[in-house]
Amino acid sequence: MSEDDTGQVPLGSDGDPEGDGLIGNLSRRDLIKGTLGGVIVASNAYLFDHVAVAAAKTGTGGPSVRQRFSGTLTLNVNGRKRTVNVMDQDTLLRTLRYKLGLTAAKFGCDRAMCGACTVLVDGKPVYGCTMFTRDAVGSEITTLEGLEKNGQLHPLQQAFLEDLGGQCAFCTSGMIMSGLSLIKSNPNPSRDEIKQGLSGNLCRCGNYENEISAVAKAAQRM
Amino acid sequence: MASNFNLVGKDYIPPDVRAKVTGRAKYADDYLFDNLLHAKTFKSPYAHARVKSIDTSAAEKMSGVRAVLTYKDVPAEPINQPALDGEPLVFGTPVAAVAAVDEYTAADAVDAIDVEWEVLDHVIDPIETLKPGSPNARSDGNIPTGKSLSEAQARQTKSNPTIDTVKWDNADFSTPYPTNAGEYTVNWSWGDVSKGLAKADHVIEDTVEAHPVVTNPMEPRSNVAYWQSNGKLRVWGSSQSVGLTYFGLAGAVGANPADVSMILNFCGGGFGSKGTNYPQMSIPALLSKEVNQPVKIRGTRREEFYWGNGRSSNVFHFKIGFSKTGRITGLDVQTVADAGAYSSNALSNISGALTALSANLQPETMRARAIGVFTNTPKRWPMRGPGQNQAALAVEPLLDRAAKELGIDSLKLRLQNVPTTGDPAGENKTPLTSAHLGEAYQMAAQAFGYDQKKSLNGKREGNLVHGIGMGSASHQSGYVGFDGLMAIHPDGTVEIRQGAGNLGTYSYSDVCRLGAETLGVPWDQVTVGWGRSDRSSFTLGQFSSNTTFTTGLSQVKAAETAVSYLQEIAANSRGGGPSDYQVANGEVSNGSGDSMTLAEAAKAAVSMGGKYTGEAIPADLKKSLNPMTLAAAGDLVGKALIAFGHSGGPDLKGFVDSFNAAMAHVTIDLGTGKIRVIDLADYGDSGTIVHPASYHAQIQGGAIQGIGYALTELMRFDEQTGIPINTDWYQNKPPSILDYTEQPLKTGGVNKPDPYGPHGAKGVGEPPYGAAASAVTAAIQNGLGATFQHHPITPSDVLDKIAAGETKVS
Repeated sequence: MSEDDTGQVPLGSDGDPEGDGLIGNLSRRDLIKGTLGGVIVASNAYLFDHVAVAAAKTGTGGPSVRQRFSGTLTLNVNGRKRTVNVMDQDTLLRTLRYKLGLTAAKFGCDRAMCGACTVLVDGKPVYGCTMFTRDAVGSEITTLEGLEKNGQLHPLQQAFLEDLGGQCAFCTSGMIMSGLSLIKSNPNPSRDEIKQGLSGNLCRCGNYENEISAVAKAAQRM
Repeated sequence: MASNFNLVGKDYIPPDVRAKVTGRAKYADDYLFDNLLHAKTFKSPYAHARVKSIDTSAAEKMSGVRAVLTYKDVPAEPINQPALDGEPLVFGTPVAAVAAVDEYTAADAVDAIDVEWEVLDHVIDPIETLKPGSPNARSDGNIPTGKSLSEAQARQTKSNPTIDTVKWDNADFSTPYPTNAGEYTVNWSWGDVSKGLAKADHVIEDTVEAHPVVTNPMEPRSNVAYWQSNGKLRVWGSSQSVGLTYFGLAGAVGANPADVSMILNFCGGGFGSKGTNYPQMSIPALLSKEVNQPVKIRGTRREEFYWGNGRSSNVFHFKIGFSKTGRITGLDVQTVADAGAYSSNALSNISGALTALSANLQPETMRARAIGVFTNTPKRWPMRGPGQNQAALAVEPLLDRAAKELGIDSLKLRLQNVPTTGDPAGENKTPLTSAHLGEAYQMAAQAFGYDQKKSLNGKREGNLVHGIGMGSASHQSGYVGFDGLMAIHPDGTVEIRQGAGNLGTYSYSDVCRLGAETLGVPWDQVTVGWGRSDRSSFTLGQFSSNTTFTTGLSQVKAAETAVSYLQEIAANSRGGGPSDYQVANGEVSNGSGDSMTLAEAAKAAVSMGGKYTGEAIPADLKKSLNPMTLAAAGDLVGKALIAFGHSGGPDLKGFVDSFNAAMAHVTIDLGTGKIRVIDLADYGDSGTIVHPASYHAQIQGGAIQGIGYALTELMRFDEQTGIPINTDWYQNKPPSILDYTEQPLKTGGVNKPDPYGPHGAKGVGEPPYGAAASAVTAAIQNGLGATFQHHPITPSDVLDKIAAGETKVS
């Protein structure tokens, strides 16, 4: 992702790329201003008195633009030094995926609700969507892509392969990283401890049993 | 029994698994481009409104914005949702779209679009819209009409249901289900239900709702499209299916299918909601056309809650008559079905629900009356089935209730009524090609320990009460009319260019196991083709629990063609007649020393040409093969032995149906209302089990999802504005790893072959869900001695029942 031609980065009204502060495309700023646009004719119109509609930002050709930090950072990713150009508000997930091409960690929700973006930062599981890239400088970042060594699968990867640990596998990267961190801190986890360790990773396919058995199998082998 | 197979019934590691565990698997949002633009949409903030004026000039002028489209620039759709709509019928429907250099700019540009709205009346409740004088969700009517077709049939026959307006002028709406109902659009019967009810020893009557939930696959629907100035459109998409998605998208955006190619290698879940193309897939394509650059729309999680499709909902009214042994003498069902504003899927819901009721319960007499409506709620498509699992959720607890009231065992009551092979299903009483639901129930009972556990029902243990329940579900799971394609290369490898998508069921690969079984080729000689529309044979979508049967059968047909070609080639080359030769173990031989390896036969095919290499197509195949299939073989023509297959009318007589039976043990905390699922067994009749590990995974996954359906998930709307209010996972929660049984679920299958299935296989995806969900809700009701008409059953609902004195807990 790049800045625009002027080197300045236009922001959504709350810095949120989804512009999704409240309702649909309404921004928090507009709701507070209470701007109401348009003619309402239906009999239920009174119900919408409190719903603000974003007004056009007329005339001068764009919302106010602030100079934001953007700069070059050096990250330690999977044992290598990587240099990236980031914006202040870029999250680690966004940087890993779109700047470094490490697409194993996924956007499941971008709101710290699902764990599909789990990576390890200094060995601890972190939701990449909720960590600023700039805050990861100086730490060891580990992603799924860093587990395979010289064509040899990591025991967790091998176990997930054998035990059909993924159905659609969109959650698999996060599951494996959470599993890795669990085993590192608890080399012989019980079934219950495995469940707790993976409780921050949603699997909509409901493949939990295979994920548990894969983590247990890997723990035995590590 | 499935005991003499080389491949079928054996586990293996499918070809995409390594990519999944290493992170190399690419989903739509993972492809990286140099000059990618990012799209965002301007969405309606109302449940129903019309655009009076739209001003995109500020957005267009913004630095970094490359294209802006509004609803005026996109093709219209008669019922289905257009890519952008000028009269959005649901909160969150896109009205305009922007492509910009990055997501932040795109979001800013969306904010800069100004729309003047005419707010229109909305309706959220499906019964409400049937009241005289009530609003219609659409300006053109409030009901979809036309033949009740499953989505699969509708796509195949290209039929387009129409829209009408129906109000129940004389109905009494004061009861939970309206009495003196008005016009129904679906009416059919088995025999005379009034006689059936009259002879019953016991009648149960109740109104039960099956609620709307959001599908919410882990992967939000992201799509990248690159529509080049030479007319070629390539899409890296998120879809369960290939062929239908490809044709559907081409039609939706007005492209020539021959100019369209889709990369659909990995789909992060769909469960029906990505069964074919959808409007968000059109948006980047139409934007890309403007700018001749690739455009991506990265789907967000929030959007999944209002445009990610979900399960259609029903209000059912049942009147069921039972003999004293528990045999169902009459089933009278009325239902109002709701699939939102943008979909005629209510008709599929109705067809699926009513057929499932008839098939699973085999009532002696039945009357089915139904009507689908539009409401200004998110479009619903099949979510693990269009209607079958709704019917299961609603009806199964009533059977347990009947057993209790009759003083007979629940399982005995079920076994009185289960279908067996040849029994009728649906309006036309089509015979079931195979049905072993009774055996599935018995296997579930055995694994569950039903004989020991049933006495726990209603037992108090401190603050807890135990509940035991059971349920079943079914889904039509086999169709014909589709193509298979196999190529044997001169190096002896067998490349199977099958057409199923890849959403985590592994059926894209399992259908190749079926074809390879017929061909008798060792698996390590097989290359599985998937994920590219230009290399896929045409098949049905990956929904309806159908892939293993439908696509598997078409691949078996292709393998049969290959076998006959190999026999002819061997006879031609080594002497004798084709019927002297057998194909097995990677070679064709006559058992008396004359043989050819597949490589040798393929080389011979290449020199013989004609039909063997696709240079000529046999007349019967030419008539029936889809152009997509022929194109998929294009680069191989003349270079390999090419075998097409087509499944048709003679290959199927009857109704292919897969069944699951489940038993659940729950505890209910009478102080907090908390429900825990302690144990759950879910067993299926899916014909021959092709890939055991994946089979078990499908049942487990379906059962766990079903627990969410029963206990925690619901689409909620603000009553006054119709706006969806619980649009994130904390408020609308799918089951986490801590939210099902502590011990592993018990799963398995009857594993008896279906006479028409490829090597006896049927399908599996959907029935485990309804069976589990209904078993859980039945267990709660049985344990509390209460009835619930609404779902999900949450702790608050439990406490309300206790406070109202409507339970029988001591």
